[in-house]
Amino acid sequence: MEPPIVFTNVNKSYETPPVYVVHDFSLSINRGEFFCLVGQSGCGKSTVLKMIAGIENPTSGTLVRPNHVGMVFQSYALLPWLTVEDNISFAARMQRFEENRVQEVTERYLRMVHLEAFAKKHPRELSGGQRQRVGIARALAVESDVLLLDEPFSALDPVNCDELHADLLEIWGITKKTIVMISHHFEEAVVLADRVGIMKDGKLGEIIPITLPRPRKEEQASFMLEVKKIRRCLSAS
Amino acid sequence: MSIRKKSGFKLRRYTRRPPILYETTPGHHLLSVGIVIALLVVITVLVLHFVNPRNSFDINRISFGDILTATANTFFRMFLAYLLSLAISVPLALLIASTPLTQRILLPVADILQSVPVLAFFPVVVVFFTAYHAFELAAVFVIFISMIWNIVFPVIGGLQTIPDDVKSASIVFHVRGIRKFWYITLPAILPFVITGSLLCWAQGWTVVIVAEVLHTYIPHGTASQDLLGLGSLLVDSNAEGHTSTFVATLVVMILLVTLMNFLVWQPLLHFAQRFRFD
Repeated sequence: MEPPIVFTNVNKSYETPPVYVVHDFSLSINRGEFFCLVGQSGCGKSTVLKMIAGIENPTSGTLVRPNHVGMVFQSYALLPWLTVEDNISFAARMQRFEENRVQEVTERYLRMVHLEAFAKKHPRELSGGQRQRVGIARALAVESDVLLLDEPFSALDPVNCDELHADLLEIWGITKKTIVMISHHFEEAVVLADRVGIMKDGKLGEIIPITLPRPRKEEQASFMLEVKKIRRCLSAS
Repeated sequence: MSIRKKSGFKLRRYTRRPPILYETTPGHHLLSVGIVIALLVVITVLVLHFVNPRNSFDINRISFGDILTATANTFFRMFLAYLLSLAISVPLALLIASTPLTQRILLPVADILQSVPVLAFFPVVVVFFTAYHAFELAAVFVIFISMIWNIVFPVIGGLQTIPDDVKSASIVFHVRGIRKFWYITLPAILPFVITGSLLCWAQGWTVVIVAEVLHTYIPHGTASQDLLGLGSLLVDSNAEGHTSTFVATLVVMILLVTLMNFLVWQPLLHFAQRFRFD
């Protein structure tokens, strides 16, 4: 199967003369894979995700990306005037799905993120974790093969994070989607990803495969070894 | 479209305008018909009034009925000016905020125009409109000029409150063009349109007092050229020393402003809260 996302020598710059935010970036993400891109703030990982989402275009190089993606945002990006179910169905309707399919998709993903009881609530009535669940359900409602996550758990407390990690893995297991997530938490990357790409100063460094069996626990010695490996690679690159 | 039964009425759930679902009863339909008929009557009265204005009044013989007519006249003038300013200010604000280039060019222009005192326009406006015997339009135009900037600048500010992530989400979810305007931009600017409208009317009440007293701006003008309204009643009754008419007009004006505050602005401001990004 062809990989759904392929970067070949992609550059992205915003100014003239060019200051590269992403430089000579090549990466292939496999179908059904959970790929995590880590790096410090300002290293260009958000720009890479925005290019996959179609929000930004590469300045040069080749990028193969799907036309439709679902995306989860750090600040949730929900519409405050819509209820939980309307926020989810909104994404489905914008794909011009038939009304029956919109209803079916909304109900399915509302159930999948365990928010049936909150369907009629507005985002401001929810906790941060619940809002991000709505964000995930909305991204799933697009029914694309690729799900993008832009530091989705960075604003959440550790307990909510752990719950959402477990839910996300369950959703990934059910939907078999290709997931690309960016994070600056190495532990989070090891808990979730099949492979972790390390970015520094706009360039992609080493890609580390995480072969630990799931569920992965931070208490495991092998878990901490993987975290140390990422940390070492980031300092070395 | 599903049909459900509640309180003895069959309810219809409309889903053509996607994210906002609403249910109607026969009562709602009757109310809608009533509102449409009322609007048609109001528009007809307005058109007839503007075609053949009956503004001549004798300040020495003002009845309570005249004060009520004046109230309706003033309200319609302000309402027309408000509709006009709303229709122009929102697209203008969208145009100004549409690109960094338009912002750089148009924002300073708008800033200069809004700082020119509205009454400075008035003599020119009056001379222009009275040349065509369009006295009503002169008043409406001046009120409109006083109102328009109160919506333009809050809406430009409101457009900047839309979070970057929401703008990105609209690209990812393919919400473009008219759909983006209808489902994201319009709800996002609604609180700013409402607060701007409140300021519009506040400004309008100030300007209407001058705008209805046209004779002071017409060379060799007489009080007969004034438009019957709360503003002209206040000025003319004060000039002629009719304290009771002055007080009665003032009370009616305060009552109208207070009623609008309670019945229109407070509910609208409360309603607008749900459209604010936290």
